[in-house]
Amino acid sequence: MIRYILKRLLNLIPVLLIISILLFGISQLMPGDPVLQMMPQGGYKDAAAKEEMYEKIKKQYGFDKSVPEQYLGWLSRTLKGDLGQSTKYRRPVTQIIGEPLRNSLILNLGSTFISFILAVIIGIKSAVRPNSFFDKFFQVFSLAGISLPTFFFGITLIYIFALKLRWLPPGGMPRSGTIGEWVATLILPTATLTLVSLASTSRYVRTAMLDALSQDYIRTARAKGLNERAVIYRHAFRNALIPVVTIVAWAITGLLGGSAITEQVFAYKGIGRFLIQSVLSQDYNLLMALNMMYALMSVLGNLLMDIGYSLVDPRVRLD
Amino acid sequence: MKKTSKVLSVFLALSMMLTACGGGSNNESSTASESGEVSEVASGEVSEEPGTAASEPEKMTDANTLVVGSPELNGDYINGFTNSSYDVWIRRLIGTYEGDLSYATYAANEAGEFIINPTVNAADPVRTANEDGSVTYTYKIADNLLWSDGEPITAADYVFTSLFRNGKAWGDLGAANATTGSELKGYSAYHSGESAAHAGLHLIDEHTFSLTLDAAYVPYFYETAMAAMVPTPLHRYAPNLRVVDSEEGAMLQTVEGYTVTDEDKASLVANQEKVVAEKRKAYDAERQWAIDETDADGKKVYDIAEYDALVTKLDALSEEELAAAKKAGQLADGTSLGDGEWMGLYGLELEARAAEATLKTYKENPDSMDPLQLLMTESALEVAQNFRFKPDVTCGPYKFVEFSNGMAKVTINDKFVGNKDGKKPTIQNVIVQTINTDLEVDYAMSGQIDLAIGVVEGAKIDKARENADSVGYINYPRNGYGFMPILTDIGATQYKGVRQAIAFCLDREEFVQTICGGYGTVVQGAYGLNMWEYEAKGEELEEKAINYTLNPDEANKALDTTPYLYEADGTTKWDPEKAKAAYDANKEAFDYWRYDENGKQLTVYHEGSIEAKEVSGLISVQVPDNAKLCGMQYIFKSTDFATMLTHYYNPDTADEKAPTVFNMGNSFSVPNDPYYQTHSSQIGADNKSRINDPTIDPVLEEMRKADPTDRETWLKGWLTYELWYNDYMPGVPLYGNDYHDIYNVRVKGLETTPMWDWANDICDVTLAQ
Repeated sequence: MIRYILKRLLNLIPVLLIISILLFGISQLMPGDPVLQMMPQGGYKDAAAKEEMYEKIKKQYGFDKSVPEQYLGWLSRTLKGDLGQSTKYRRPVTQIIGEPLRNSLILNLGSTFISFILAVIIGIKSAVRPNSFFDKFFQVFSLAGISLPTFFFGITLIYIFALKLRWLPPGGMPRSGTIGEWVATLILPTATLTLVSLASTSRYVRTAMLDALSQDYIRTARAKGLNERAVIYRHAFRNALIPVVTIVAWAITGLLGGSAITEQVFAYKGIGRFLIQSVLSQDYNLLMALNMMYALMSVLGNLLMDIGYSLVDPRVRLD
Repeated sequence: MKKTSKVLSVFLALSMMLTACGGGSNNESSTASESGEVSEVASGEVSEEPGTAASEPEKMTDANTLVVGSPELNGDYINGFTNSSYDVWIRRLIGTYEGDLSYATYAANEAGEFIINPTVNAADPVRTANEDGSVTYTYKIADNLLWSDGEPITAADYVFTSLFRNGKAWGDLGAANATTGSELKGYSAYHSGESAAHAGLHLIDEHTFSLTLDAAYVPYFYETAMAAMVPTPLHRYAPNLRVVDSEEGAMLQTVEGYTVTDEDKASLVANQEKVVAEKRKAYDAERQWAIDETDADGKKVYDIAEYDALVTKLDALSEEELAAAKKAGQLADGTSLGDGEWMGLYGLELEARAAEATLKTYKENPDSMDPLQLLMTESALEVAQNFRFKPDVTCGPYKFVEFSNGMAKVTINDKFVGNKDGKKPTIQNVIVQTINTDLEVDYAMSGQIDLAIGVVEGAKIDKARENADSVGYINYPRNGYGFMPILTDIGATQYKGVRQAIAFCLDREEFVQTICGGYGTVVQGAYGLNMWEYEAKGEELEEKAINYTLNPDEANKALDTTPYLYEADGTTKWDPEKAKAAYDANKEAFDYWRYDENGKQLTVYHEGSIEAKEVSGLISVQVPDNAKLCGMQYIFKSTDFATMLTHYYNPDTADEKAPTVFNMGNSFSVPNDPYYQTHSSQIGADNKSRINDPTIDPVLEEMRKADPTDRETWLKGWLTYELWYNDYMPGVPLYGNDYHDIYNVRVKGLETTPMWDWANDICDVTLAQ
């Protein structure tokens, strides 16, 4: 398997290179002038002063070079770990994304883990007793969860728990940074993300379990006299894991992807907001850094998914 | 089950690994700290943070901390780089934004008037008119001013401000304020590096300095704004430099005993090599351009051999002979200097040669190295990379603590001697925190934040007004407005009648109702209702100005003054009755447009931003439809703000379909001089509407030339200007918001105005216990 993984990792190099060329090319096709974005809108003594400023910034950020030159410069810097300067914040990209990446990871990790655990429990229970009250309740719940927008959950939770009951902070980041304050700050956004994610994941698990439970080998297992617990968890759930692995792999891929809407609702300083801002302000270096990170996570996620399949399904062999 | 456990174990392990990669909340130190770059501060307890200040700040609790909500913060705390008005709040508090809290010699007061800052000036500044037409201001500053680290603030710190920001090293970083102070005498020579001394600055003694405004810029009504100066911590920015005075002006020198280390020498050589490479590249590019340039027929425009021959002759000239040749446009033997291209190229070549000579000298004789250049470059880089994000020596009422997680924290500066009124702040700490501004009033009501600033949405304002038991408010008209700037030299909008017709196709009251929720006003020109000029002349202005309301008849009258008078055949007079009939019959299929005598259709292209979707939406609903009744096809499209800005700043004059109308917000500076946005000499700079009207230029020039005490001349010009603007319509004011600063009831003493925000007012604000 190690040989397979190494082979796959080597194959990623040309893939990432092509992605980077495409992303760089597309970002350059965006209309608008990033240099103008960086310049103050007024306060110039005359046209010459404005021109002087324009030329200096253009040169400083390498916009005076041709697109291929800019790309090669970007590639060479990136390979050395230098992601360049953000044109919006005018500081190194590595300095800008460190903190929001960590924040997004903390938020998404918690919600992914909780929603996965809950989804498995709810999905199995619903599938084992289809059409029971429990099943019907979560059917309705998951339908609502899929249909309603994320911000609705967020705003509702803020209204109830922060503004009315005043149990929890309504958003923002912890002011003093104590663990207790971090936990309090994370509860509502985590709950929002968990609710949304749980709704769809639990349906996947339920469907997969229902499918598995209707298979002949389950009937055989029951006929052999195995207890119901062993039938469900050892035989059915294991086979139901294949579609779940797909979801979990993508969820892991998305751990650093940020949750722009939730972050916006809770004014949580995560990476999702930075991605939107980098597009709007044509912050090429930041945009490229984030997009390449997502591309990398995506291709690694696929690899992870394949490994996951081989772990849960003996029929899948990695060569 | 075993395999399932394995999967879960893998998942958990991965989770833990990722968490470890992310790091905990209290050990966040950036990777950059090792490399000497700025470090992001830990988000741990403020009192536990090492090295942020000489004395540990008092722990921030609800009782001693004012919390202000903000939609966004960049974390940039000096002038010259990014421009977030929310960062400016913190900059005001710590004294890195020019004003009375930064110990400026002159500062704007609550009404936006520039006054002498009595806290800073030991005596009133002395204004001396010089024989050459320049004006010198001599300042004697108080001897009790201190930096936050306890070091005294001296006249050298004030002089250093200009020497640093106008220096070449700072300018090379692309800092936006590198040209601030260009009105000073000797600026150009110092800024370009031609002179080491700044002729416009003199350090007289420890507490006295002078600055001289160039004759070209004085007299000027707002002269004191140009003469205002703030201190910069020389001992922090460049500890190995000192300011000295000479007959040629103030200059920087290395402190006694400073020697350039071998490391510094190597660094200087490396820097100079880069300079040489850049200069050579600029020259080569220009030369190549001259070689390649062809005319429309494909013929070469320039003969480079001609230049090479010219260079030999130019090199043989003395400086005086060269100057005379430039003036005459030819050499003594009659050789022409060309149309400017050759002299431009020669200038680049000389620059490259000079840089190469310096490099050669450095390499051959390392002791000849200019340590000043080295230290200035080092200082500029240090300030731009570190101090900018974590200013540790400041002079304002508060000291910077940290910026992390979208939150800026400051704590009281016990060395601050007072604002312009001598008052000091009483609130121990201030936090400006990024919040979801959709909920800002709810936050203020619940006590999660103390201040929600500049609220404009009607629903939020109503909520605040209905909950007087938990929040209070201060409202004032915005010193600016949402407007539609128009390009006045291209497309159909080059005609005044077209611009006026657009204004007559708008129901601006609907903007006030829809965008401002009823909390706003409509203005008739480029002014804010709180401007002192408006208070003096507003009544007369309102009486004489055109009040643009939705009125197709007036729009048609305006268009009748333009060349668009005909139907499609270019001869039949366009008829408003026919337009009305066509509109009433089927307005969607309306096709009865105005044309000029050449058969060119009247079409206006408007570009709005998707970010301002409400305003853009309203314009796109109102104008294209209303404009049909006057035969004007109004094409509206939305794009992102960046693209719109590009099209507005750099219009494609060759493209007949280039947008010439836009929509955005505008804020007036303090002081506000319309010269920059209007005078024809400012096209390409701040005159973005590209106004070139010979009738208004002299008015603006006369206003500026008024003596600072001559308010009448300024006011007369201002009224003329505003009436001209109202008629010429280079921009249609849409709505001026009524800003509401909403505060939790525990906040006392807050008094804000359009020119005086909460940060300006901090010394008067208290928190009820």
